This record gives sequence, C-alpha cells and structure tokens, in this order.
Amino acid sequence: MTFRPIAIFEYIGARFTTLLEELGGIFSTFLQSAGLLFVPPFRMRLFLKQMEFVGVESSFIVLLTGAFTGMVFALQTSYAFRLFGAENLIGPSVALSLARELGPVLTGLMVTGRVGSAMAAELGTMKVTEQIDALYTMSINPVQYLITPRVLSSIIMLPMLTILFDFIGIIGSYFMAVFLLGLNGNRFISDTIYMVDLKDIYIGLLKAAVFGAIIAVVGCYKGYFAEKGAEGVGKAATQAVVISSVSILIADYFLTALLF
Amino acid sequence: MNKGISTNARVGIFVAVVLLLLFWITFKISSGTIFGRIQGYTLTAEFDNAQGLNTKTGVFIAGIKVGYVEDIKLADDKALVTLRIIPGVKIEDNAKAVIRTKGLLGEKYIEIVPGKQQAAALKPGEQIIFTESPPDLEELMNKLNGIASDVKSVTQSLNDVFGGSKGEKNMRGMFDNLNRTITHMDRLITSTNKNLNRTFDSVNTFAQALKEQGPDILTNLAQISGELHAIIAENKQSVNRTMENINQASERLDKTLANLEVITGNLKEGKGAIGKLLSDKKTEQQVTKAISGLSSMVGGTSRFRTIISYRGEYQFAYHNVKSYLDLRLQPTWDKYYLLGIVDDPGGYSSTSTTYTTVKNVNTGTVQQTETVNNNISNQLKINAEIAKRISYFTFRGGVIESSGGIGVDINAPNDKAQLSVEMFNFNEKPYPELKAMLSISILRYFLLSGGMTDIANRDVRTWFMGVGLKFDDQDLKSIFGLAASTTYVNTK
Repeated sequence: MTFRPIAIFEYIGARFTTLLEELGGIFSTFLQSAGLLFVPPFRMRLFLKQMEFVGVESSFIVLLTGAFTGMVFALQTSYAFRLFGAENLIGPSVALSLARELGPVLTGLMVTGRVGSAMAAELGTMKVTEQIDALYTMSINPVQYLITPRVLSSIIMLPMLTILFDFIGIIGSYFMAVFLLGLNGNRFISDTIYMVDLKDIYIGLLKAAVFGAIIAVVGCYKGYFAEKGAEGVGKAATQAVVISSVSILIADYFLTALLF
Repeated sequence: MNKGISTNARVGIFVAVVLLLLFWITFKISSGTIFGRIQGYTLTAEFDNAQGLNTKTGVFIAGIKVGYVEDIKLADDKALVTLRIIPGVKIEDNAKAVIRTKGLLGEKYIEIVPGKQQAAALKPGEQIIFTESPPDLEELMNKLNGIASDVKSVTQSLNDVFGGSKGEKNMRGMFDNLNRTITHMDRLITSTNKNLNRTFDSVNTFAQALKEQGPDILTNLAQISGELHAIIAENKQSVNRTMENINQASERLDKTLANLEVITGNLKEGKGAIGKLLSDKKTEQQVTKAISGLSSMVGGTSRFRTIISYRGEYQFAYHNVKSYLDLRLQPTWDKYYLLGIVDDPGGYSSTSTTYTTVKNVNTGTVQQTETVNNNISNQLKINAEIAKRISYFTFRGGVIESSGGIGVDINAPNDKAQLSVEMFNFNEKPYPELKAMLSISILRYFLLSGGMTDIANRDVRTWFMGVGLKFDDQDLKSIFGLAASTTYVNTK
C-alpha cells in the first residue's frame, strides 16, 4: 500500500460528513417528534409510562447524588471561606452553584446514564428485531409512537428532577454546615435566601429542559438507526451515552453564556 | 403496578411533590413577593457614590432587614437608588441613609439611621434627603499622603536645623562651649585641690614638729608640777591660816542671815515703813498696771508688720531697668513707714566741658576747642515716707527718690490691685516728676506693675512695665529660719 497524503483529508472529510449527518439526523428526529406531538392520535398511556420511567424511577439516584454533592460542596467551600472568615457565604455559594450549574448538569448526566442508554438499547432491539417495521406495517408512525412520548416526558421530567436535586443538595449542605461545621442554621438559611435569586433557579430549570431533550433525542436516534445485530444495539447504547453527555456539557456552556 | 399503585398515580405523586417543592422554594426566595407581585413601598435616596451597591443589597434599621435595593440609576452625576421597604415599616423624613461596609470582604449595605426628633413618616415614592456615602479609598489615601508630606516637611526642617554644614557648625559650637566649661571646671577643681594639698601639708608639718619636740614639752610639764608641789609644801602654814579665816567669815555670815530672816518676817507682817509699802494692795495694783503697760508696749513692737519688697521697672524709652528695694514698717493697718533705696540708671545727669588747647608749631597760633559731654550715670536714691491710710486711699509723703514728694494710692477692695500717683523732684526739671502706676499682686509674693513716669516732661517721659517680689515678716522668718538651719548644718 502506498501512502497517499490525500488520505488524511479524506479521513477528516469522511468524519466531518458523518458528524454533520449525525447532527442532521438528531435534529430532524427532534423536529419530527415535536411536529408529531400535535398530530392525533394522542397516546397518553405511553406518555405517562415514559414519565414514570424517566422521572419517578430516576428520583432515587438523583436524590442520592444531590445530597452528597451538596454535602461535599459545603465541606470544600468551608475550607476556602474559613481562611478569610467568610463562612456565612458557604450557604449562598452552594445554593447558587447547585441552582445554576450542578443541579441541571449532574441531573442530566445521571439521567443520560440511566435513561439515555436504556432508550437506545430498547429502540435498537426493536429495530434489530424488526418490531419498528412491524409498527410501520400496522400503519402506526413509529416516530410518533416511540420517540415523541420519550422526548416530551424527558423535557418535562428533567427540570423536575433538577428541582429535587437542588433541594436535596441544599439540605445536604445545610446539615453539613450546621451539624458538622457548627455554623448558625438560621443565618445559613437567611443568607442563602438573601443571595439566591428566583432567576438563578428558573434558568437552571430551563437548562434542564434542554438537557432532557438532548438525552431523549440522542438516545432515540441512536436506537432507531441502530445497525444489525446485538453488537449494533450495544454500540448504539454506548454512543447515545457519550454523545448526549458531551452535548450536555457543551450546551451548558452556551446556555450559560446566553442566559446569564 | 406491581405495588398496587398505577403508573398514573406514581407520576402524579412525583409531579405534585416536585411542584410543591418548586412553589415553596420560590416563595422562600422571593419573600415579600407573592407570585411576582412585589409587596411594600418604594423610597428613593441620592448618593454621591454608590460603589459596591447592587440590586438586592439589604436595607437595615438597627441591624434588622427592612427592605432591599430595587434599582440604581445615574441621575445628574449622582446615584439615584430606589429602595423597596417592607410594608408596616415607617421611615421618618429626618432619617439618614448611610452606605456601610459589612465584613472583611467589603460587602456593602444601606443603614437607615432614624432622626433624633419625632417626624412625619415618608410616603411611598418620596426621597430620603439625608444620605452619607462611604469614604472613597482613593480620597483617604490622598489625605494620608498629605499628612505624610507634612511629617516629611517637619523632619526636613529638623534636618535643616541639625543637619547640614550650618547645623553642624552650631552643634560644634555648642560642644566647644561645653568643652571649655568643663576645662574651666577642671582647672578650678585642680587649683582647689592644690590649696587643700597645701593645707594638709601644713598640718603634716605641725604634726611632725609636735612629734619631734613632744618629749621636751613633757619634761617641761613634769618640772612645772614638781615646782608647784614644792610651793604648796612651803606655804602649808599660811594655807591653814587662810582656812581659819574663811571659817570665821562663814560664821559671821550665818549671823547676818539670821538677822535678815527677822527683817523679812517683819516685812511680811507689814512692820516698819518698807513692810507697809510692800504689803499694801494699792502698791500691788500700781505695779501690775506698770508691768502690763510695759508688756503692751513690747507686744506692740512685736506686732509690727515688716514688709520687704523688690521691684524692677523696665523703661521702654531708655531700655533700662530701674530697681526699688523697700522696707515697710507697719505698726497698725492704717499707718506705715517706708524706707527704701532706688537704683536709677538714668538718675544722675551731668554736663562736663572739656577744653583742648592746640599750639600750632608753624604759625605759633594757639587754637582752643571746646567739647561738651552729657553724661547720664547710675545713681542710688533714697526713699523715706510716712503713709496714712483712710479707707481705700493711702496718702504718703516724705523723701521720694532723694527729693521731697507726695503720693496717693487707691486700693482695690481686696488690696490685690493698687493705683498710685506720686509727685516729686520739684526743682530740677521744668515740671515736677509725676508718676502713675497700676500694680497687681499675684500669688501673694509677686507684683506686676505698669505705668508712666515723668508724665509732665514730654521729652523724658516713658512707659514702663515692672515685676516685683514682696515678703511679709512671716515669710521672712520662715526664710531666715531655713537659712539659719542650713548654715548650722554647713558649719557642723
């Protein structure tokens, strides 16, 4: 084999077109599912089932991570603030960072691991076992039947999980500060309320909604277009997690820059 | 489903719980606002410098949060701050809004300091007139800079005094003086030492002489005592006779005494002329009266008040000091005699004329020149006056500054101040010397005086200011007593 310098560019070009293809596919999937939301028939049962799967069943893992995140954050900031006697800022700094960044992002990542991969695997298996083709033959729009409920329920449920995350995180930091670091509890609460604005929380929830859409759309897209075989299903699940995690972090940056 | 709860219920419960949480958090954070509708009323305040203020910065009264900063705007180079105050809190129109700093990190807040008097409460939308902005750090630094430069200029001037070639010269001069003084003292001590040495030397010589001639003196003494012994032995007879005579004399004395005893006994009983006189009551009264009269006389003398005073008067026209030393003897409060000497630097003026005769050798003519010298010299003068006091006025007359004169003193009720006018020296000058003086006594011993002398003679009159010392006989006693005791110690 002779080395052709043009091969490098061929490789880069191929990767780039694949990336654009992927992005286009993801975006078109989102648009399709969003458009089909307003087209009957409306399947409430499927929608509720997805809400249960994405929201209710994720609440435990979100509460667990939220509580420990708040606690460790309080502990870490206390080291820094103790240095110049600004311990009253522990509460506000934990609450602000939870509401603005950590709540939505960590919730999104947790849900990606749990829900995004499941969606890709589920849809991938349906694709491989030609259940999607079967739906098509039954004149059921597979996108409307499978993807729309998942995307909508994720968009609704992610902010709710974020509220849980914020709340439990602040409670965790409160326990840390008051019972382990010996700060005044009333002072902690009043300073936190004083420093945190409603805007901080609502923008965090808006971010969470965007992350929900990313998780569901990427998971469904990867599963829907999975390649043949069990290997294709596994690959789809892995790629769904990787792509949506990276997308969440990148989107978080742009959303922060745009909204704050 | 497997727990007997439907999917619907589970999702419903989840959503309800989360929405409740969201509602609670929202309510907590936006305390004072209900569903976005803001509670409370607004007030405005204008600050020169609103640095560090933010929306949501707290507004406090007596450390209690009563509101927050809602808006900060620029209005005519000043910061117009809108404050949102929670309902029910009244802020009076004499209250003052002060920007203060909380904590080490310089977090700012607004403190409302209520006015001292009761005043009308501000209505919503009104302005708090009195405000105080935080001191600008830059400004403070500038002030400190100013102080530092002041300090620097002070040290600079100190440096100019002590440092530099001039300062060095001054210092060197000072040290030279010191050195010279020490040298003088050293020399003095050395010379004294020499005298002492000489004294010791003489004592030494005397002792030496005594040592050398001591044995001779002793033998002389032994000779004398031996001779004395011989004389006594020779005159033993006559000594005995003398003793006998003495014995007879004493016997006679004894008899005399017995007689005397008889006489005194008679006297005691009033026998004889003398006895009658002595035992008479009238005599006794007369004698007592005589003695008491004597004692009152003596006592009166001892009650004489003696006042010694010294006074120096600085005469502005001549730049010299005229001194008075007076002794005042005051037998009663309204009468005194004054004796004094006056040292007058311009007291004696004389005119001397010098004639110089020069003989010209060439021409043979004699030329005579006349030089007139006006000399003013120091003169001691005498004061001797008698004074009589009638209520606040004291009239005195006699010899004033070695010439006849009269004077009058007007005393203030407490005798602390005295205005005196005196006239003397009626002959020498066109007009008699007239002197007016106001004197005030301070702290019992000191006198301050001022006035004008020789008022009538325009050419020579002058203003003067004086200070003086005044001692009572009581003070003098204590002073001399102290002096005596010190002398005693010294001689011992």
